[in-house]
Amino acid sequence: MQNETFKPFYLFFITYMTQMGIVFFSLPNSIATHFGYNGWIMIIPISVVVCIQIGLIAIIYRFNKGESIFQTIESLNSKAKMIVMPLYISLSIFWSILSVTIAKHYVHVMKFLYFPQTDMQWFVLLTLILTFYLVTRGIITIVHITTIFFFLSAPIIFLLFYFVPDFSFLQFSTFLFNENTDFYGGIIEVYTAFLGFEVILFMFPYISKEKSGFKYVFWGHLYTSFVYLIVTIFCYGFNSIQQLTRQVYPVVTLMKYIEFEFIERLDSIIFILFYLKVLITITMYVWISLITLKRVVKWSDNLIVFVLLAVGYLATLPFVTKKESISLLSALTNVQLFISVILPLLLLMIIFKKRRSNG
Amino acid sequence: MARILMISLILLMQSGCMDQKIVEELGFIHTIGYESIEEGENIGKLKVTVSFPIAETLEQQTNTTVVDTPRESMLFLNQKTDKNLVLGQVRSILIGEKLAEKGVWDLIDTFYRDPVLRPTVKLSLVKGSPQQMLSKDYPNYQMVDTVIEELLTKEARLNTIPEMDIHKFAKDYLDDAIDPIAPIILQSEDGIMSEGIGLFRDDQLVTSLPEIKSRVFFLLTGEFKEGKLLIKTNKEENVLFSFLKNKRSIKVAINNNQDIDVNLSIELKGFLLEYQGKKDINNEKQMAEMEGDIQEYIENQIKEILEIMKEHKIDNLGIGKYIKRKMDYQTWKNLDWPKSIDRINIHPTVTVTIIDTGLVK
Repeated sequence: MQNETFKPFYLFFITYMTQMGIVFFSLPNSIATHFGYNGWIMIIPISVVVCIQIGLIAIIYRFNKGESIFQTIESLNSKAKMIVMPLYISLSIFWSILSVTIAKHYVHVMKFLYFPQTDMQWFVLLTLILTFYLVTRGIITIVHITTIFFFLSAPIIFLLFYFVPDFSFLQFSTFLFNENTDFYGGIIEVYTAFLGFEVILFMFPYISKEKSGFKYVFWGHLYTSFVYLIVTIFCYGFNSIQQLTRQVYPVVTLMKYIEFEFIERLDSIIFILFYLKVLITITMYVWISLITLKRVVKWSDNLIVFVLLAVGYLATLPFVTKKESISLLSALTNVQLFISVILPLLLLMIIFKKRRSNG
Repeated sequence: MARILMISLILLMQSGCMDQKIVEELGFIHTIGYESIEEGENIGKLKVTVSFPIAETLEQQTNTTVVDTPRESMLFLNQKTDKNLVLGQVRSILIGEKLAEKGVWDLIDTFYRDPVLRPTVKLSLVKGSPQQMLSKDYPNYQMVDTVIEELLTKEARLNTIPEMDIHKFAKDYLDDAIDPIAPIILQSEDGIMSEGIGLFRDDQLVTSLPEIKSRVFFLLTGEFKEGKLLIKTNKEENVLFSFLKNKRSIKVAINNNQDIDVNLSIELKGFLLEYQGKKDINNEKQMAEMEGDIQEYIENQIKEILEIMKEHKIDNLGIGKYIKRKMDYQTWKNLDWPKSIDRINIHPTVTVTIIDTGLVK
């Protein structure tokens, strides 16, 4: 498996598809609530911060020369492996719980909006089985499928042209961040919308070595930022700000507005297409928890993924209502945010320490 | 293991068949009418009328019930028919004038909240009773609810009434710089007709503009790009003027944070379609005079509309949005728009150019 590699340009799709998640539907609302008037501007500085984070990952990639980060950590000294084992186990369990929670959240929203009679647990199980198949096929298949899913769901963005006649710059006004509540909470929330780039850390051994291949991660991230920004701007121009703070899923409302002569209720199709994006996000997190756990146990891939998904499923069982699942999700994403900040810094420290002791 | 999972995957896929709806068993509500009961034992309650097509006979059925809250009505209405009534295909909501005067936000909020309904559901006010409008037999119409919907769409295209749906209403209602409007329709002797626009303060209907004034109103909002306008000058002349171009600009000047001047300028270009009067429309001098007359007429209409808005302290034109842009946040909040609309000076100027007078000399 170590020999299998993929071309770096696939990183574009991986980055974008992992970052883009269910948060997308409510993002304009949380931006409007937290930042108030012209809050969309805040996407830009937060995106720049994420760019710096990706820059750190790029530096690690360069110093590592494509070595997996586990080897970097374990090569620190002979005892390191003993210390990090429990950490590996807890991280992989954490990621599997995170992915099941993401799946559950999506199903919650879908059930509420489109299929009120569908049984939640069944649909979550269905998602987990699909995830199982994807993850056990290995990273190369995941990467290819991600690319296909990207092209299936990417053209949705062109639907925004439909709103050009209803778009009004008057709605923006000249106020900046007035009527905001919990500005810092908003920064955290928008930052979590960008989470997903950190999975690239775990892919180092699988990226075929090409000069400046890492730029595709930046492109992927910039595309995510672009989509977030343009959709939020359209929401600001299409709704009044007070209205935007009241809509739970402004992007769904936006899509509901689309009516053609031959088709209406496009939003339900788009929302289901979005399932593909959510599936990729889940798959990526399960995959990183798989390769993390593989450092500890010598089981087959199938068994590890099965155990991880089962643990994740059972751990999230007590969280039934939407409110519970949202609070669980936000707690988990905050932890993930912490990981995404700390892990690259930690790795950089290890690398510099090694270089100093070596040189 | 993979095989077991594959089988369970197929089994689980079957759950997709659970959420099924059979079209013949459903009654797709097309139009809902709400009115408040003004007299009798049920005074203060809500009368709800729904109309839905019957697939087999291509006819329309209406049901009415009296309830306390809008949502409750669905339970009672369902009991009165063999169809399972669903809200997914609702096209328009009719609100009785009396109910609109009491406030409509609670009603619209229920619809806006519901994920089943679309935000494009049309909203209109009915002079009189929506129930009578929906349940009467019209000799010329087969299904009155679709006629209402098409009338609303057509009249909105011709700029006599606004194209108002629940999304736009919510947008203007929640915005602090504009008050919402809604079209008014009424039941005439042989059918349905549109009757200008209703002006709201927050969610309460306060006054209305008749048809001619509503066309001028749309000139002011800038939505009126093309269409016809009947002008009756005081010199006993009738002019039918057809627009080709309408340019509107709103400029706001604020002096010392106190005096707010709003310059509304409208530039119209078009041709004369019909003229009844004493002027010679081939004489250039008299044409210039006529342009002046039309300008004066439109300016007066605008002034009257502004007077109505100032009298009721409402801003349905959205002038507030332009003022908001020129202010900082605190000044805007202190202004307490639109209560302060009578403090600002609005100067309308209209320029009319007649390009042509038709094929006949």
